[in-house]
Amino acid sequence: MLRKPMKLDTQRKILGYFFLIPIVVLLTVFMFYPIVKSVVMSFTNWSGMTDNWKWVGFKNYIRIFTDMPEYWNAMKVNVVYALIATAVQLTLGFIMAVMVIGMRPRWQNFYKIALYLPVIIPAAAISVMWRYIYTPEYGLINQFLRAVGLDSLCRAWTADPSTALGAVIVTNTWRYAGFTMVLYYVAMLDIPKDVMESAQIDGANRWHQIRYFYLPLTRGTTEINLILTITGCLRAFDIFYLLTAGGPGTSTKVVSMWIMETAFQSYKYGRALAMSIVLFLIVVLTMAVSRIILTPRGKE
Amino acid sequence: MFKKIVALFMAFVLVFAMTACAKTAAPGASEPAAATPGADTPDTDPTDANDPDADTPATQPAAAGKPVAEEGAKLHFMHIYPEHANAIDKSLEIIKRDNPGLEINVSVVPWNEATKSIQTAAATDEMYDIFFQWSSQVPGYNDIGLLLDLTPYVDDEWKSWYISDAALQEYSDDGKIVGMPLRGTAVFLIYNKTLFDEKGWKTPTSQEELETLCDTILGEGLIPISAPGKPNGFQVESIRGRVFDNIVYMNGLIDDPERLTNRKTEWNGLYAESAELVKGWYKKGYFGQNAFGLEREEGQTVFMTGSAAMLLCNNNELIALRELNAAANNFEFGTFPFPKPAAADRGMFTAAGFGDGWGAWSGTKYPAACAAFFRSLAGEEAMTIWANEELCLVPSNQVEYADQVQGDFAAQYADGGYKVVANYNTGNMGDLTGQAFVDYCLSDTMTADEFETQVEGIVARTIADAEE
Repeated sequence: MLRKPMKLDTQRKILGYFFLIPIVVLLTVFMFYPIVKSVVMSFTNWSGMTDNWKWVGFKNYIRIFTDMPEYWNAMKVNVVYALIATAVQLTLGFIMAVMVIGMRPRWQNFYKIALYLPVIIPAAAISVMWRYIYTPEYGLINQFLRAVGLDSLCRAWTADPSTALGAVIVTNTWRYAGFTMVLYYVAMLDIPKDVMESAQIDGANRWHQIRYFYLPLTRGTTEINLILTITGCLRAFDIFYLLTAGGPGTSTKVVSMWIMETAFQSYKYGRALAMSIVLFLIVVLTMAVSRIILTPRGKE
Repeated sequence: MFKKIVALFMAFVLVFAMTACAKTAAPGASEPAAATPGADTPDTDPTDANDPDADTPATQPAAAGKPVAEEGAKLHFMHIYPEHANAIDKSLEIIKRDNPGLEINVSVVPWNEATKSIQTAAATDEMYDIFFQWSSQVPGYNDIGLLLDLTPYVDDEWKSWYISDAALQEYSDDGKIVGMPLRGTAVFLIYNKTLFDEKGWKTPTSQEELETLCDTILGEGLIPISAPGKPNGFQVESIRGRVFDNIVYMNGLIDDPERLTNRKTEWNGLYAESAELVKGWYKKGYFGQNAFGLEREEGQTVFMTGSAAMLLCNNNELIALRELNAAANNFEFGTFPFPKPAAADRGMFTAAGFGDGWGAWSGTKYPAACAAFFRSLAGEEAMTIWANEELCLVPSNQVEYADQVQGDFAAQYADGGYKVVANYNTGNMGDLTGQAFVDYCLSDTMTADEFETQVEGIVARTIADAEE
């Protein structure tokens, strides 16, 4: 009996699955498996150094929530940093975008590149530069203050707990405001020109354009920027590590630093994974809340 | 949905196929079993000790004696000293000369990546045979079965080379020698001798004289002591430690067994007393405005450019200071022991220890080669190179120091003793207490007693963690 030939549609489907294999494998090996493994190992006392470990149940999580004040103090630093940095970065990014969009095309290109440049500079280079700027003896800020007779305002910007976090926020804003600006700029380009021209003909001044057109019509971008910035701030590590190393004391010590110390200095990899997962859940929760707040009522 | 399930199934088949092709894990590797150091190491025939192709760690000799490297031994050696390449190279030449046929592959890792590098190497089962370790890491590493027991190899002759029993004690755990000291790491006071002579200042002989001297220096518009401390106030904290040691000694607790093993969690105000005094010094400006924002090198620069009259530094910074000194001001500098309180009959220098050292992997195929490596490195010839060409404080009693300041450091080491050697994994406890001290120094509301309670809590939690 002759075998019935396979339908073309079925053949295509099989071929489709075949082509899916590489990406599914890559995602499984490099993303899903490490995540699942991390969750599993967060319930163990794994040191990270040998294959020996044993189940400890929820002990790591209980410890985080009941007897780890350092973790929650660091979380406070993250939250304060996220709130201030997000507000400053979004405001500045939006203002810069409005200014750039109103310029002639040649200047627009120049400013787009100039303002985006810090985004592509490595964090290590940025930290070296800003550490120089903040140095008390010969740093640019204190030199400027001395030059204008404001010596009393001179201070060790990154060694004073009242200014250290602010110093990091300023550096971070300098680094990422250009990114926020570019996203807003692209969103503003999508606003039809005739709409803006009509508004101008109807007598809308610059403020009216911002208030009634740019702000509402870039709401989606605000949402994206907000989520990216807040989640980025909650996971922040590099700029803190390089600029203040968490100091002075613990005044700029963020959660990621505690996680690193727990894993690599105390050899409590299992607990560090639990700390990471708690942070991950907080980031996810923040994103979800942000979306709920920002999504206009009636629109899903 | 069906498509998704099929795709996922295919992916898992592939992943499991790949996993199956990988090498077999160690027995019980992924089973949720309690950690037992050495439990995975099956017994081997003693003859395997000389078999370079043996898959399992070789057994160790039953009796002490000069170790002889296994034939065809190849060691993977990890260190953190690119700045001491000269001493490393010469030491390796000595080791190879003493152990003909021994092959050594060298990996250099930045000092601040050492732990991570060891962790990764151990986890991937491609561990270094010999690797750098700090003495504070010994109990932690030994607890997880990472360290080779060197006790059978270390004979009395070898032991007699060390400056004190404490040097080997720092690398011992559970009664076994599980590492080797390389060099001393302690904090010393260095002063600008040229400036002191010019101003007629005398080196202080008591803590009270030191305070008077600092006030005088402040009056000259200089920073009395450059004490870098970013981010955990490490040098200011080290001064607090020195002050604290003297207080503890005067209160008769210096040889308290709980203190010596870093298990004391009730200080009844003594810790607070030291913290309050040093905070007062910080507030008066003895360490400058930016002490907690300075990294080690920046602290050196403050001293070398003449902005500070004294510097708190690690003895291993001496070589860098000599180079900076030659390139910059070229003033003369000296050292003096951190002064004791006038009321004390002697000063304490309990931090004098040999923090930098080595460990050998318990899973190495060549345990005798590791021991032979350490023996050659501990000998007079290699130690003299480290002492006089690299200006390190070595644990050997066979070395004569050529550098005056180095010799003075060594003399201060001789006054050491009562060093605290924790017999548990202290993890990041040092960082935590340092950070707490900086927080206390910078706080207008935290009291010294609150700080003491905080530190006691950190110690108690660390002990509980280690003994989990």
